[in-house]
This record gives sequence, structure tokens and C-alpha cells, in this order.
Amino acid sequence: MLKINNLQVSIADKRILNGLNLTVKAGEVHAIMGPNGSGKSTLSHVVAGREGYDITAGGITFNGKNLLELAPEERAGEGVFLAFQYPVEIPGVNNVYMLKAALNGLRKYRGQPELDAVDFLKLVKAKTKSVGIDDGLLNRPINTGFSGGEKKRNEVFQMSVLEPRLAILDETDSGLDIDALKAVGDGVNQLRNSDRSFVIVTHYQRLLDYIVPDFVHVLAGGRIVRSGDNSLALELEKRGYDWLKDETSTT
Amino acid sequence: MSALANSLATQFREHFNKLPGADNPSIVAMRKRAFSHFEATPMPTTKHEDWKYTDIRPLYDTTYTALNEASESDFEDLHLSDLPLPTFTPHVVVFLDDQFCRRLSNVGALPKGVELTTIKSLLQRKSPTIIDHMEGFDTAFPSLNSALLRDGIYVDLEPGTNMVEPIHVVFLSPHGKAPRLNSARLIVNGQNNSRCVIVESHYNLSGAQSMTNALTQIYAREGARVLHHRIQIGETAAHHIGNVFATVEKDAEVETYSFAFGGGIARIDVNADLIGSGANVVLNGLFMVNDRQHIDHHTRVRHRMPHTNSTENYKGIADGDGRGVFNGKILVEKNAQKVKALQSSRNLLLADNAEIDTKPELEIYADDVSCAHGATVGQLDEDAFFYLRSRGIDEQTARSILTFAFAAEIPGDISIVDLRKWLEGLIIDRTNAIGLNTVRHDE
Repeated sequence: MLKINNLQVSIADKRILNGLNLTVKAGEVHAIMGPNGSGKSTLSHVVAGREGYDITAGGITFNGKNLLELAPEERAGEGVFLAFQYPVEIPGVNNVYMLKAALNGLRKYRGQPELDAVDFLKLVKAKTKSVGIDDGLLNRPINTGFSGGEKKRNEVFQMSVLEPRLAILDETDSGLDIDALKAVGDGVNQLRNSDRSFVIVTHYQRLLDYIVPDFVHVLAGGRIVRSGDNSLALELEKRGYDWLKDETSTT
Repeated sequence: MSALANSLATQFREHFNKLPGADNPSIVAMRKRAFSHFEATPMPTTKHEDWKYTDIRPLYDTTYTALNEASESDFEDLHLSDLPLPTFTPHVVVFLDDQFCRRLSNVGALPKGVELTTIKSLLQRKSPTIIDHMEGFDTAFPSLNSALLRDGIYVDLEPGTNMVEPIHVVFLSPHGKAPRLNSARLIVNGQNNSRCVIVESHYNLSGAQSMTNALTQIYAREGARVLHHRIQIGETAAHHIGNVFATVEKDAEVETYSFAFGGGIARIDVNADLIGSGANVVLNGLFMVNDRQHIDHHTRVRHRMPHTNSTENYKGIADGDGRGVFNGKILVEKNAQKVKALQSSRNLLLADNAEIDTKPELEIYADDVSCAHGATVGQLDEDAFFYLRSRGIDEQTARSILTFAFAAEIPGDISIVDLRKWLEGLIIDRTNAIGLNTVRHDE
């Protein structure tokens, strides 16, 4: 599904990703862990199509398409979704209105008929229930005045409505208490199926208690330096990242 | 002398003794004094501080027909339903050029104590009150309006009258053969403890080459409340000069909105004088400019008495090579203690060639006042833009959504639902155009 090959990315001449390789197949959940500054968020943003990054080498394909040639909305149309580390507050734009524009944008891209208001509201109602989001938040301006937990739940809610094929969760656990963490984990687990893949970018192992990954990768110095199964995450939780840094600098 | 002043002087000499009130020597003398004041006031240039960013030479270089009798039969085909005007009230007063149009107007039964009178009939009736409204202006255009005035509307509310239904006054500039200068006048006299809602629309029909010189005078007497919405829509061939003077007495309130949606050169001055303690004024405004458009708002609030409040919220959006100007002056006189004044001017640039100049001006002579002001000029928030696009919303729609969200705050508080929806529709039309335009710029 997602193939990242020797990806090299710089911001203002500073090399952030340094030959990153990653393959994610349909239905798999991959966790990308790493110390601060290792390039985790850059990876998320580059896949979603944020501007401001220089891609100096390598490539990203998604179901065979060259993702780097597509605009962010086209990548969304292909099925990529990014849950933001810091969901943006947009005063004046109603949450549900945005979501309708988004869903119909995706449908238009895929050559499907747009949903009318009635069908859309039915869908929203059903998803509200399954994600357990307070429906008072739906008609508020996007993320405006939401607590940290509400913002992250809103990201999961949007994901559930937009039904991506690949969801990237960028540090979704940051700033969450245990209850919110559990709610987000439950929301994501409900969306897991054999066609949908997840890339979970995180500094800490704790989110992985709730969303158990198939693969764990350690990102350091702009490359994946080690891959394993969930036991690698537990080891990182115990030992930290320093031992890996030492190991990689000597190799 | 400018082409405008020359041609108007000729027309004025020819017509002044045929204008309404010509049999009243005091009105004739008033017109002459007003015209002399216009002639004697030098043409504003960009060297003049109040006109620094607005070059009105194109207005002064044009010869406008001001005083010939337009025949109403020319516009027999014109129906209000053909115009994109909202129907939110049974009280609509229409002026075609600057003549009252009975055929298009429709005034329902008014509550007791509310009177609508054409200014033409007041001038003909030699009403002494009307002369009081004609003079004493500092600047040229209000004086010119008085000199050339043929008609307009006078809204009078007796003490304690509550007029709930809005009164919509529409000034239309239809398509004529020669460029026309229209003098539009609206006077609202809200006597003690009265309430009313006024909507003033200036609508330039497609392609008409015209200049409107509009003057609005609002009096909110003790405890009165006047809610006023001014809407200007024009093509680039239409220039617009607007002056609003609001006088707010003790415990009275005036809330005045200015929505300006284009035109060639538009300059709108909103002046509020707070002359009694407890007086309150709210000034809200929104302008949107695109290619070859220029809109300049100057607001001036004068706190003349203690315990007076003003709140001002203006927003501007410029696309293409459009230019916008906001200048907001707050003056607090020496004895006006315990004054609260807030001013905010926020502006959005959507293209590299667009420009908005915003300037707050505070002159405070009292020492116990609370004044705050903020002015910003920025671009669409990149994070919000990426956020929407990452959800599948295309670039143009994302831009429109964010532009609309920025603008919609200003009409957001309007309680007349159909009026608010109309304004939101006007904004959406323009944000869609903005999206297209910006995409074109990017390519």
C-alpha cells in the first residue's frame, strides 16, 4: 500500500530525513517511535503533502501512485488521512460543515455522487455514537476552544467519517490523560480492518497499550534504525532511546 | 478648477432656481453657500493626510450629469424583483438616481409615531427643520450634497416609538447614457426612547457609469436606539462617496454597519459624536475589493462627554490588485472621563498585488479612560489551509471557506435573518470569485 523508498528531506538546507525506507501493507498497524527531533513529524507531514519541505531524494508511492506529485487534497482522495499532533483551531468554520465539504470533496475526487444534507447527517449521527464524541462539539467552530482531549477525539471522529485507507496518527497521545488516551485508542481500534492501515507516530509506548501494533520501527537521525514487533516498544519504554543512538553512531 | 467642479458649477447656475424649495429664499441661499463651500474646498489629494491612500482624481476628472430631469419612463422595465435585493421588510423606499420612485417603493402600514417623508416635500413645504441638516460640514462632499439635493428620505420617530420592522431605503443608479452624479440623502431622527432599524442600500446596476455622493444623518436622542446597516454594491465604473454622521445623546445608542462590496473608488466616512453621558456607539464594517477596486473607510468617534462607550470592529479583504484603506480615529475630549473605546481593524490579503493600509489614530485629552486598539494585515493561515486540504477539500474551496470564515464575523450578529443571509450570500459570491482569481494568479 505505502512504500517509502530512500526518502531524504530537508528544511532550509537542514537534513531531517536521511534515507528512510518503510513499507506498509493493507491492514497493518505500524508504530514509528523515536526521540524528539528524529524526524517523526516531518515524515507524517511529508506523506500528507504539507509544503515547505525539500525532498532531495527518494520517493513515496501509495497503491502504485507517486504521492509526491499529488496535492494534499488529492492524497486525501487517494485515501491518506493525517491526524494532527496539534489540530488547528479554525474560528468561523463549523466542524460539521467542514466535514461535509471534505467528504464530498473526497467523493468527487473518486467520481462518486455527493451526499446530500440528510444522508450526511445520518452518517454523522452514526459515527458520533461509535466514536463517543460529544455531539455538542460537532456544530462548534473547528477545534476552537476544545480541550486537548476533545481535539484528538475530533481527529478520530473525522477519520471515522472520512474512512481513509491509510491513517497517520502524529503524536496523537501527546497531551492526553489516561481516559482520553483510552477513548482515542478505542476509536482507532474500531476502525481497524483488513483493508485499512495505520502509521502511529509516537514518542512514548503508552498509546501502544491501547493500539497494539504489528510492527514497531525506531526512527533516529532521519532513518529507521531498528524494526521489530511490539516487544521492541516495551524495550524502548524500559531502556529509553540512548542505547540505540549509541549503537547507530558506532555502526 | 477640476472638470467635475467646472461642469457642476455650470449645471448649478442653470438649475438652482428650479430645484425643490426654489421659492424659499433661505433654501436658495443655503444651496448657494453650500455650493460655494464645495468650490472653495480644495480637491483632496494624496498629500492631504485624510486622503493619503486614496487618489480621487478620476472622480474630479470626469464630467457628470447631476441635475437634469431623468424621465422615469426610461426605467419602466425595471422591477425590484429583478434586482438581487432581499425582501426582509414590508417597508421599502426606492430612489432611482436621486428621485423618489413611487412605482418601486412599497411602504406598509407604519406604527403610530413613525413618519417617512420625502426630503423633496420637506424642501417644498419650507420645513424649517430641514435647513438645520444642510450646513456646517467641514468637508466638500456633504456640502455638495446639500447644494444639489433634490430628494431623499426623512425618517422621524416620535418619543417612545418602537419600530420593529426594518425600513429599507434603496438608492439605485440605473444604467444611463451619460455618467451621472447622484446625491442620496437619508435622515433618521430617533426621538427620545424610540427604536428603529434602518437598512440603507446603494446599488449600482450593471455597467452604469456613475458617482454617488451619499449623506446619512442619524440622530439618536435621549435613550433612543438606532440600528443602521449601510450596504454598497457597485461595478468598477461606479464611484461612491459616503458620509455618515451619527449624533448620540444621553443614554442613547447607535449601531452602524458599513458593508462595502466594490465599486471603482469608494470612500466612506463614518462619524459618531457622543454628546451625552451614557451614549454608546458600535461601528462595524466589512469591505471586499478585487481587481481595479479601491475602498477607503475613515471612521471618527468623538467622545465629548464622560461615561461614553465606543466599540469598533472592521475587517477588510483584498484580492487581485484591489486596495483597501481603514483609518479609525478616536478622539476623547478633556472632560470626557470614564470613557471606554475599543477599536479593531483586521485585514486579509489574498494576492501579492493587493494592498491594505490600516491606521488607528487616538487623540486622548482625558486621563481616566480605557482605550484599546489593534490593527493587523495578514494572509490566510497556512496551518488552517493545510488542515482543510488534508481532509480532502480542494485548494479553491479551502481558500473560500477560510475567507468566508474571516468575513462572516461581521454580519454574524445581525438579527434580521434574511438580511444576514443576503449579506452572507454576497460574501460567498465574492469568496468564490476570490478563489478563482487567486488560482489564476498562482498559475
